[in-house]
Amino acid sequence: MHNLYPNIRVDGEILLNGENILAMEPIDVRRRVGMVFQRPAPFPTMSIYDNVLSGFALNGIKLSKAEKDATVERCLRSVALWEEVKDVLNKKGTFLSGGQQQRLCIARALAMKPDVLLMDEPTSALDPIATKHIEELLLELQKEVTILIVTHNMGQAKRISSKSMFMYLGELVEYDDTAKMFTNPLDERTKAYLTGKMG
Amino acid sequence: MAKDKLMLWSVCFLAALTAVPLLAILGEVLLKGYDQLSWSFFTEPTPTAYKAMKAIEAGEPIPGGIANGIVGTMIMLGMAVVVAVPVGILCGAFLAENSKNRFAQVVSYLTDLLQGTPSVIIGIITYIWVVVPMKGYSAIAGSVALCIMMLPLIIRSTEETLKILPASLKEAGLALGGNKARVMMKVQLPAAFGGIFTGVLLAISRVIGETAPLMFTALGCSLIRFSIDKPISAVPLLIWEFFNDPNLQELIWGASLFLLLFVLTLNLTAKYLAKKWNQ
Repeated sequence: MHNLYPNIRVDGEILLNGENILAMEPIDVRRRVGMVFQRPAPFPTMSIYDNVLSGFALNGIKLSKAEKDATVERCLRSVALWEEVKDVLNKKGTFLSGGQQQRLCIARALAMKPDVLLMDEPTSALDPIATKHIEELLLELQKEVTILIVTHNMGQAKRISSKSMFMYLGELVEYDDTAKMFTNPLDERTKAYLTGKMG
Repeated sequence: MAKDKLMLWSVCFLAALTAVPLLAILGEVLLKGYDQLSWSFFTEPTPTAYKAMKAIEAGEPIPGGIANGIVGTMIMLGMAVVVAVPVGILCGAFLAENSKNRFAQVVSYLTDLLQGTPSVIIGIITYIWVVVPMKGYSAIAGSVALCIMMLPLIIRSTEETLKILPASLKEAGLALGGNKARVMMKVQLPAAFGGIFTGVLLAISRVIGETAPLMFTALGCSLIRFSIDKPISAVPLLIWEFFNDPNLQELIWGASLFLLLFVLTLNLTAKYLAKKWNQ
């Protein structure tokens, strides 16, 4: 979506299963890559049920009632929200807490069965307890889908990721297994950032 | 300290002063018109000048009412709304999404111009465009004039409401793979519904009292009429007709009170709904 903002530019290649996504149609990329934003943004005029299915509605995909029910249950179960909202699926999602709203947004993204799930600081707008729940969720979800998280919280990166990337001023500086990078970083800038010499 | 108090009192006094004309108008119309409002007033057409004259001579209340005006106003408003609302909303959506586009900027400027155009000129133009080709006055012509007058208000309120929606909503919709049209129809416009609806109500309350454009297009009629290709009455037209006939002048107050109450109700509803939807 960088083309929505005129003063952002991209260099190099970003490959998804060997294809350069910068050369693909944006809509095709968006369908294969799920996105969860920093601030939970459930659609305010739709019920929880419709929110989970909104990806299909926005892509013009029609589902039968049985398929819809099954998808909603599958997605809400995979984000550990089903038990909490199964009796209020027809209510609008805005009454949920911040953590629950974010989980709803994750369920919404997962409904489309993306190849990769991108998350932009998914817990920075949440309180510590909600953050803990989301992190536990992500550790589980790793088994089903590749997740790419942007975070400024080094503790979080260390806790939940298997590989890490360090980016500085728009440049990819280092990429390695998390355990290795946090204990023995190769680049000086990575070292400076991890030890707090650089913020 | 004393200066502060002086400022406070002057501002309060001037604010109260601006309310005086409004209250004076409401009060005058209410006092003179309330005893005319009755079931027959709303269901019977305007009386002929002769009947009215006879009633005045006999010292009786003037028979008849403004039913022909109410029916005409509702028909023309209905037709105008059916066209102005979809066109206005789509145009407002276009302007909100393409604010940097040259064409959109021109359209935006022309919308402002249209809003400032005197209503009598819109009446004359509609006369040339609709009445002359149709070879006659009609409700269709009247509703075209009203529609043109409603458009800028609906366009602006749609555009403004869409612009203040958080960008995160549109981004979330696009991120799910929706194209721009679907994100607009399924995410942005529903979220903007409150502001758009309020804008439509305000546009209706603005045009319901327009008289000049209807003089050139609907002309007026003393019968209750439902056909749209013939001259038709409207409440503000009736007020003008009552004014011009010495025997019917009594009825001005009832008709005025009806219009004022209608506009007041619409405005209060719009305000209430705006408050409710913003919570």
